Amino acid sequence: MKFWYDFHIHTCLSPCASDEMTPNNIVNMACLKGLDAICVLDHNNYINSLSAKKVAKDKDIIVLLGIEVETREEVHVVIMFDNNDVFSEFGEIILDKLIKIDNKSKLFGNQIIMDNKDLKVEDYTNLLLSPVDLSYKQVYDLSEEYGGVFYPAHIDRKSNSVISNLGMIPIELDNKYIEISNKTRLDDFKNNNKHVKIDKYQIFKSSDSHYLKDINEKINYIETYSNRQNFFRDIKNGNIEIINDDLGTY
Amino acid sequence: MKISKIIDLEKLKLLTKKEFEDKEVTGVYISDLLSHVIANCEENNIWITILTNLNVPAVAHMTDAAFVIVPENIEVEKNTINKANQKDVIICSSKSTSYKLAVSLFKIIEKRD
Repeated sequence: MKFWYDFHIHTCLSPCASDEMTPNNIVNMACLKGLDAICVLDHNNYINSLSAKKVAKDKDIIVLLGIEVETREEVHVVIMFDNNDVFSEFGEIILDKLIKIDNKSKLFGNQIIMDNKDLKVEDYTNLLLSPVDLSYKQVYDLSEEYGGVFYPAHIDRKSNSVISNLGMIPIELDNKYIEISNKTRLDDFKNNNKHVKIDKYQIFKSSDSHYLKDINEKINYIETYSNRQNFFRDIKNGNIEIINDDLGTY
Repeated sequence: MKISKIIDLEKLKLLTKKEFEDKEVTGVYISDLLSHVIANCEENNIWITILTNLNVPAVAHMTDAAFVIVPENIEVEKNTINKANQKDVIICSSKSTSYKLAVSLFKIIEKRD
């Protein structure tokens, strides 16, 4: 089965994302764009992801739960889940480990918690652009313990990436996936990072959208060989093929 | 020592707007981890960093840093400069390394009252 995907979409809970990134706007825009599977996430906070999944309950689109955790080394990693309870438990641990600094919304942006009807619940007051007090390896171990799909985010970026901050992808960890930004072509990435070996990983190319317009069009898809119900399980076991257009024009 | 005097002595290149509040510099903080800067950079410290993203002016503003120096002629993104100008944050470029800047700034800031 073919699934057009975008696995990195922020909501209005992330301070850097626009207030228009509400759960309903995101799911509806993704449907309009013809996507089959998305992951809706925020920096260090799991709550709006749950709301987005609820919005999609009676729709055809699959919404995976996710968090973009900032490790102690300020590396961004994405962890995806499909079970609400497991995800919530994991999410609470991350929130507990978040280094507590007050958000200043005029400087960093709003952090709006929303329900599945796009009603504001409250502002989240701890700055979500802070790191958690867990190392990259500790976040990986925790995500394995909770059955999540862990991958370093936008490894091509000059900041907040595993390569910019750690110099390399830790090879002793068994993550199956890495993420490269849509706008970076694979060849260019390899040429600019000759010391980094990425052949053992499959590559997600998602939008990292902070605005509705930036959500992926139907440009990248995942091929699975079992049922739709097994989608997350297939990803977790590495039983998928990822076909990215890799034009680097986004 | 005043910001303008330091820019002059260290031959820094001013990347943001020419008009700024010429504060008295109190010291220097060097880090590329934003969480460390937020926790430790003191008011009117010079912040030396290789980071050039949009969080730099936000954190510089938040910590009341005197100004930011980006070493080794590392290019600073246009939107970072724009945001810095909006927030009255000063960013300068230097061709020196952080180490050389630190040694040089130590001599001129710490050895004077």
